[in-house]
Amino acid sequence: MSITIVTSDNEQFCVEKLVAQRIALIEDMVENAGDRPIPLPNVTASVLRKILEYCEHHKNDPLPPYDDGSRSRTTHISEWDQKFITVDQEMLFEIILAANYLEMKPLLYVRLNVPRVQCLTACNAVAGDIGCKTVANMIKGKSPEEIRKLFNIVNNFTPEEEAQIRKEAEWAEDR
Amino acid sequence: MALLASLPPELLVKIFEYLDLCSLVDVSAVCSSFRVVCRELNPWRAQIARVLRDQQPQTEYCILLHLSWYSAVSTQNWIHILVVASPEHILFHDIPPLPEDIWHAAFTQRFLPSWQRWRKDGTWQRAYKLVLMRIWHRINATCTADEAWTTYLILSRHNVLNISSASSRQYNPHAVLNVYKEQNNLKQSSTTRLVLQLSDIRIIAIGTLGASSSYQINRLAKEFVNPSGVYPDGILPFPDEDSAPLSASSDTPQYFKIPVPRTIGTPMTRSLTMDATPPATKSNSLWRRFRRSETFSSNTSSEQDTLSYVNAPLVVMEAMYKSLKPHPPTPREYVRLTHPRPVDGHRNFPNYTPGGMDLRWPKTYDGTNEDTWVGPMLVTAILVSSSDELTGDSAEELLRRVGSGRSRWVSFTGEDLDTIAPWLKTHIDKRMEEQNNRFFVTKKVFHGPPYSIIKRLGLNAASFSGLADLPNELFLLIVYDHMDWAEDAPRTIRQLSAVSRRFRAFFGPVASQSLIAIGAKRTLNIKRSLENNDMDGSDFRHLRVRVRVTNWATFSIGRNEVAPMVRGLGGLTSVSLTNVFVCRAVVSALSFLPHLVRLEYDVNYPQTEEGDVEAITKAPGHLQWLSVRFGAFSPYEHAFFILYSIITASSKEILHIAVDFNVLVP
Repeated sequence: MSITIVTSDNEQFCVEKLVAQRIALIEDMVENAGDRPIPLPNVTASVLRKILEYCEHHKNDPLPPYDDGSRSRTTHISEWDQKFITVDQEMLFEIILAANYLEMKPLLYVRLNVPRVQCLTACNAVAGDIGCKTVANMIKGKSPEEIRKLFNIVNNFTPEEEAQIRKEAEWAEDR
Repeated sequence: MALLASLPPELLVKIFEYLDLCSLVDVSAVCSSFRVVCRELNPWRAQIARVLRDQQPQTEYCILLHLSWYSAVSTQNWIHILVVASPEHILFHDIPPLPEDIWHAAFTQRFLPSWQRWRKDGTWQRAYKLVLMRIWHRINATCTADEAWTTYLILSRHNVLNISSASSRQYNPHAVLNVYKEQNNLKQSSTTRLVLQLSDIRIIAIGTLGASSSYQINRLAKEFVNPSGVYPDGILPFPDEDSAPLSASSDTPQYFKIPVPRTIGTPMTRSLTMDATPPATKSNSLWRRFRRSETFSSNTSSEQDTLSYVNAPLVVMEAMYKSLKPHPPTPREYVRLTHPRPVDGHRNFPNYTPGGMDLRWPKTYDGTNEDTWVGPMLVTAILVSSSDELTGDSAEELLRRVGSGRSRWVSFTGEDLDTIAPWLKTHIDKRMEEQNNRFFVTKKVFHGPPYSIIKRLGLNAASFSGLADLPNELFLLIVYDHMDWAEDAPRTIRQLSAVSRRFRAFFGPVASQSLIAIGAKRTLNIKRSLENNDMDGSDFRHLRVRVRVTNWATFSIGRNEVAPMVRGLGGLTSVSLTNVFVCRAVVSALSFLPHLVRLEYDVNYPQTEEGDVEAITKAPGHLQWLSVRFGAFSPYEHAFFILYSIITASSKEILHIAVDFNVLVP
């Protein structure tokens, strides 16, 4: 059985239900929409294509354990995921935003009667997992100036704030 | 175009949580929006926890100790550090000046609530460091100088909480529990369970696992270790399809499905198993007492030795037995414990915490295990160092060796229990605190209503209207007042005691005739009878009773001295009756002296018939000293029978019997 998804740029995707079930938002909408196409006004076709590629690859994976945020986090990314997420910065952040919007979380916790609020927390944790880890890995070991340059961020601190940060950094430079 | 800076704060903080402390310091200096995210949404916390846990690398640890230098780090993180960090790292490193409320919060989240006694009049900072120093000292040295007595708790199967103390140097919880087990006739080996671990303390329950059909089931212990409605991951209850699920807070008595109507025998053991076989009769066993009541109800004293198990009919009503299978409680989410704060492996306490450190259920638990806690359970606390971790297969082995760390046992009080297990308050009926080797009842709670029991038993509900809110004890008294003791009472009491284990504990002693209780209404009747001088038509005017109360004051009971005696009902433990003309008068006097332990009387004119029966039912349960002098005209067998009845039906505790047959033969 397959379902139809319509992206913000009006492109239609016919997706196997097993694949779509990896996406919590679509799973919820299928129940209400019936046979009608499911609109995703916040996701473009190019981003959805990437996300569906991810879902297709992981459709038979065991459902990950529930993470309430208390576990230690590693930034390790598997080989396939690493290759999958090797995209330009714009696409990277689009994927993170889309995953956040789509609540890409396996449905394990719904089945186990875990409250919805916990489920959503977990959704967010995994949704951007690969994207967030990738960005974190890009930030690690870089100075504030290098981070600004890498991500095209404007330094908008006031002179007073700059002075305070410099003072705080003095200890770090001496360490 | 999507940019890092344009991501919503909740995604930014998610990215930042993957960074180490050094990178977090750097990222907080990139732009004002990142700084706000770092300050307000606190991505530091996860990294602080990681550094405290791993204590590596050293650079990050240095940053940790100087976090207060960075304005982008909330001072609230210090609470976390003060709660989680090992005593060594806090005591032997410089801690920056922190506001008193941070120390206060750290104290309440790290230590047991009863430890606030160490604060006295000082600051929270001083109290925190003082207690932490104590912990460090006791972990590293065999010293109990600052806590000579260790308080521990006993959860009894009668829903009573005993708060006791033992010398810290001699304290061994296993030895203490063994004494309790001996008193409860339990021979099984003890089982130790880690209930909860805080940063410095493990709270441990030691009890006995037995068959779920045991009459010694300790529901209080079960509620403490495995709260109703909490299940390990992956284990969910499957209620019967033909029965509505029970509410999470409801009691779930076990019911049995049997054909109705059915007449069955009196249960031979204190078990709900209806197919029990009769035990060998012992001269002073409960069964003998129970059977005596049957003898009485059948009113055939000569048959008492031949009465069989099935000859005492008890009609069992359909509603009493619904299903053979116990109903599992509905899954329930308890409020997480935050003060004190459990370690990460118990973070969801009292709910189940996945990860393998929540050891409240056996590894083999699959939701159908039938073993349950029986007899008393001891709850105690032990200090642990941060390096002493219970994980995986070694956990049970370490728990078995808890007796070895003698110097590390610390007091665990009722206040602590109330804090970590507040749901137990509704299950504890009575609290008893030991002071100078004497027990004081500090609290007694009754739970109602018993109305459903009345209905279930098919009793006349009209007689019990308005009882819905009454506590069980008052209910018992009223039941007594409404019952004709001589005929229906034993059966009703047996029925009541078969309703649930709790009611069995409550009504069991009454059913076995070892307790005499007088209802308020009955007491009033006696008083009125005494005042009207029409006590069963006996010639009460000639009765002179000298009553010795516990303080050795003596009353002379006559027509005008009724009131003092009635007032002194509760305290009478010793009675001397002289010049007794009617044996039945002795029996009547005994009926309102439930606490009697010493009785002496002389009989000059034994002429009773009815008194035989009453003597059996109204003899005091705790009689220890009995002296009878017969000065009758002839040795009528009634006098002997009364004496015999009092001795046999009254007490196993009797220590002294003196009988003087000064018989006057006409």
